[in-house]
Amino acid sequence: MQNDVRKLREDRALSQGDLAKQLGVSRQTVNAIETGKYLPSLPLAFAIGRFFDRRVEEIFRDDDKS
Amino acid sequence: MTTTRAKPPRRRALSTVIAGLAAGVLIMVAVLKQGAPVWSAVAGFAILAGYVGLLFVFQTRNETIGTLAGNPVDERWGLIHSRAMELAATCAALAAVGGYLVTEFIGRDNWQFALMAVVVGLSYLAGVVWFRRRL
Repeated sequence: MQNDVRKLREDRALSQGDLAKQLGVSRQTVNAIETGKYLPSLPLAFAIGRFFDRRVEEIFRDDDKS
Repeated sequence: MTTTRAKPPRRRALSTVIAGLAAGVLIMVAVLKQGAPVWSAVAGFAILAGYVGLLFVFQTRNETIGTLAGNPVDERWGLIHSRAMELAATCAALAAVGGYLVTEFIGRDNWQFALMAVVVGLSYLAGVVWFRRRL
């Protein structure tokens, strides 16, 4: 699973801490999502989508999907 | 679209403190009942009281300490907490079964290990039945 969270965050000139505060999670969790170490739950994925005004599938991509 | 805050309030894990202090008192009473010096009973209580005191004071300043206090700050820390509990339970089960087998081989009294293994096994079965209904 790959995602564009880091790119979207950097486009908005936000730090990981800023995004974490907006999403109600820890900074380490934002870092873990960006590096692909942690897959967020559906509610958190939707919260990320709402924050960046994107659909979830535009942010998170399935590697296995051809 | 609007953003939502999924973060639960950082509540003080009073139950952890109360459980820790209660365990400390029980240890102190048990040590005193054995006829051990008072200072060793007080030391047993002080170690636990100090530990839960540190958890209580620093739980909102550090995510790891918050998780140790039973108060994970978000879903990832909740998952870390669950995995750590899973590992601890596996180790407890292995220690119970291993201890039972070793004491059985050397011919020592081993009812404590047997009881521990039964509790671990039954609580696992109860957990499967309970969570099958809820998840």
